[in-house]
Amino acid sequence: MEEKKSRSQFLTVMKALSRNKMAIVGLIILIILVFAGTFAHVIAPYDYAAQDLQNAFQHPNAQHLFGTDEFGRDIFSRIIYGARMSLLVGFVSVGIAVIVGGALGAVAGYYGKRIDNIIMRLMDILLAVPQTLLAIAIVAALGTGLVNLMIAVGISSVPTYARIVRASVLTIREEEYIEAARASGTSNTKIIMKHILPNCVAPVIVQVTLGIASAILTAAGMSFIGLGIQPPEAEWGNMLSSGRDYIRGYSYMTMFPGLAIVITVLSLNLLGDGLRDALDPKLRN
Amino acid sequence: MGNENSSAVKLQKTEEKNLLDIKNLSVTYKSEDGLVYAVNDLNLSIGEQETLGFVGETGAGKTTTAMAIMGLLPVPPAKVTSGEIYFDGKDMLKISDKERRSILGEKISMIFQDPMTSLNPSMKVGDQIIEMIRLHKKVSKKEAFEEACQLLELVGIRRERVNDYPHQFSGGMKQRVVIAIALACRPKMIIADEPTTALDVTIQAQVMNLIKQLKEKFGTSMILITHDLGIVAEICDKVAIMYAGQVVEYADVVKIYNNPCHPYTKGLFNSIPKLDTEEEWLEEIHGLPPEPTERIEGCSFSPRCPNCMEICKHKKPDITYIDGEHYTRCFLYEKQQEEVKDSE
Amino acid sequence: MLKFTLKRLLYLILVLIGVSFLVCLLLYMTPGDPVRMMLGESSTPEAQAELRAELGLDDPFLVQYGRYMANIVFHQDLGTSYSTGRPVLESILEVFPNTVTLATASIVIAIVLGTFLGIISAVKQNSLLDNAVMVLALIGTSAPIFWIGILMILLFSVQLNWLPPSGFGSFKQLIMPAVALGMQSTAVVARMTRSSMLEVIRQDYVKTARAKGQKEFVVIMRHVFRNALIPVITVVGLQFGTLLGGAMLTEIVFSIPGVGRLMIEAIKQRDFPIVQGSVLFVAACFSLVNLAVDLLYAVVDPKVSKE
Repeated sequence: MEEKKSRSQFLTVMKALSRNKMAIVGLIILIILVFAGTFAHVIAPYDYAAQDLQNAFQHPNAQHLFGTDEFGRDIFSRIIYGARMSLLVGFVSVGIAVIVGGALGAVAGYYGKRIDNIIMRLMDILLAVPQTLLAIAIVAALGTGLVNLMIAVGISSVPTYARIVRASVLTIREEEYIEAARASGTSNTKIIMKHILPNCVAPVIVQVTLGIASAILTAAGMSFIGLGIQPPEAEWGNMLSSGRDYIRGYSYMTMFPGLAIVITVLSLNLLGDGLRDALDPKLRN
Repeated sequence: MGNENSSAVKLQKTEEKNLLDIKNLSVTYKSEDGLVYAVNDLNLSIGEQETLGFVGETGAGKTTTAMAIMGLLPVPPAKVTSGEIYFDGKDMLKISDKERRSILGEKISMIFQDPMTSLNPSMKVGDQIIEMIRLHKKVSKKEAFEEACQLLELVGIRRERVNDYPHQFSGGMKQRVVIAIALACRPKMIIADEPTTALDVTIQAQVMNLIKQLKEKFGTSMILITHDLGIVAEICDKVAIMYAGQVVEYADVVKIYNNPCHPYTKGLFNSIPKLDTEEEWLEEIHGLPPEPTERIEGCSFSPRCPNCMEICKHKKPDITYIDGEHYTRCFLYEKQQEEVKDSE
Repeated sequence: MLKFTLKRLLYLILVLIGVSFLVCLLLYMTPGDPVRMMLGESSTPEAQAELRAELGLDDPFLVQYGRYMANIVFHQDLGTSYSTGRPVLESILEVFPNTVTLATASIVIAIVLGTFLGIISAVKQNSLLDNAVMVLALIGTSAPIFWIGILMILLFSVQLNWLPPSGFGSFKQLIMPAVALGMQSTAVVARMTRSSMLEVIRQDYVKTARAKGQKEFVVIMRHVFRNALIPVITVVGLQFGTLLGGAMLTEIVFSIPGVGRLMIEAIKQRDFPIVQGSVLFVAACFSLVNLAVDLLYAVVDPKVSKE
């Protein structure tokens, strides 16, 4: 019964989403990017780290579609590997945030009272520091690199998800079917996992889509200032950072990584907006 | 009855000059499901100081008609496809925006259905009354403020509350404020769109009485949009029964209660409980009103009509005058139809 | 109202104590020895131990933290920079005005331009103009600040030679960083203003205002915009945090001596007192702005002020 309902809900949402052309464009671009990132080693014509000093600073041409950088590395290949890096950071860091934040929010919302108070005050402390700054502070402590960057970006967005899930749980908690489950002796953990969390999915999905977009931006920014993924790893932010030194005469070195970031983030934002419109019954009619 | 006499007198007076004359008004809306025919070839008039009850189901086009009179239809998606709306001798559909703005509030004002949402939540109620006054009268702020206080007292609210915000008032009180705003410039006509539907039952009568009292005091004409036939009987002079965007019957209130003609009108009257007879079940009108996007070839009521004839399915009925101003749109009453019946 | 403000202020102080604790703990657990950085790899272990003792780095965490807080409360002292030996607060206050100027200029751009674009978009819903503004806004929210900054330098400094690519102080030097930093917030504010206006425009009281015979412009400004402001204010408040974060990137791109650049350079040099102090300082500013935003609600929304 319930499965049927959620299935038909899913179909309604998909139908609403499919009517939104912009969202579909976003979805298609995203699929292409994920594909490119996953099979970067197959698609990329060159090794992202292979230096070729004889061919450094080549403007875009037939051999090097997007040109080469100061070490003669193929920018097109680096962009493709960069997609892998950016999406990885985006998905994993938001994954961390959703799991940690979701758990905290669910517990806070479900149990209420003191536990809620403690968790949410803790979230207030995290929220008092602007997100980028918090991520930077965490990296300052943990050190740079892919894993630390993901942890830093992830933790800095924990409060967002904790708040969303808590708010949903608070409204759902009072529903009669939860009362019924409780009355029939279902354990709290089971109620949270089976009844409450599935019903928070809609707002979380929207936030996840938009959150990956902003995580990619934050991560690129941190790599740009040298606190994220370090060269020679191919990452759009650090590519921009090194390209910046050669802006006179070699502006293509900053153009392509920048465009890559914009397109990726834009596709996620388009999809997120579409999902929100599709999931929000207020706007559906 | 005295009531009948007075309305008869008024009838003669108003035949000379109507305050509002709507001729062949048609309005459509563009929607995702297609074109909605909200108002179809509607004819209506109202005299000075008259109260017209505008009765019909939800979606019959009552509010659309009201908004068309005010010139406040959202264009697009709404579009007036034909017709004229003469108010005080001017065609409201042809005048400039500026001219219309000088008529709105000053000569016609409107009371909306839901008082909870028809006041600006971030403005003191006094300021909302003053806004109306100063838009149409050249008075100082101080004079306008004094007038606003008086208006509040007029509708039964203490003047000290002039600086309160809408959320500090109850629903019934808010509707009183809305009435005060509507009457601020002593308009010639008020359009009241179901002014009591959103209120508690206990408050409804109070507010309705207030409206009635004030309109009599100021000699204002009123179009009262409602589906409550009880209220219509109580305060209206004329009644227009609306079905699927069209006035299907229009008459003096007494005539329509004594001699309802159109099958839909009859159906409406049969669906009110009567105190003097003991009925177990109320009669209902079978079926549902037509989807607003479909155009019915014949009479729009024909699919639900208990007296439906062959002709009703193919042709739209014209206006047939029954008795004086009393008219209906139904083939049962068309002359030829009667002749055919007679000859049978 | 006063009680509300005081309560919020007290809570703000508690939150900031929490922030300071967290940051101190974070940096306490950080691997790497600042003393070795300060004295150089070739220094003797004795000298290192001596300096470590002098800085109190051997004490347990709670003692260190207690000392740090006591210094803040009693001496307004955020510690001393490891690398320059100057008081942290002094270093921060020296560059702080630059960051504030930059962030303020950006938020002003965002508020003025964002609400203006949002209003026309909402009023001319689904028109060509509306679509153009919304597409631009979408791109604006998706483009990284530092890239926009680089593009602006490329165009206005390198190609056209109109504006200086770096430095801070003159109005000319402020234009590019402020626009680059404000662009994203402008886009966010424009989108929020539009959707909020569209929500309000459907309300009955807007019809009431039109039925009064009020001019459409006044209807939009007095009855629609005013009521659409509350969600916009929330967004502006939140944007301020984003702006403070973005200011760090902007400072790097345009070589502006601000708190962001100070902090990033401190991180690279493991100059923890500066990092700690900057985070705390920025968090305090951000919290104060948020408090101001909450108080602003009361002005805009009569429902809040009466409660």
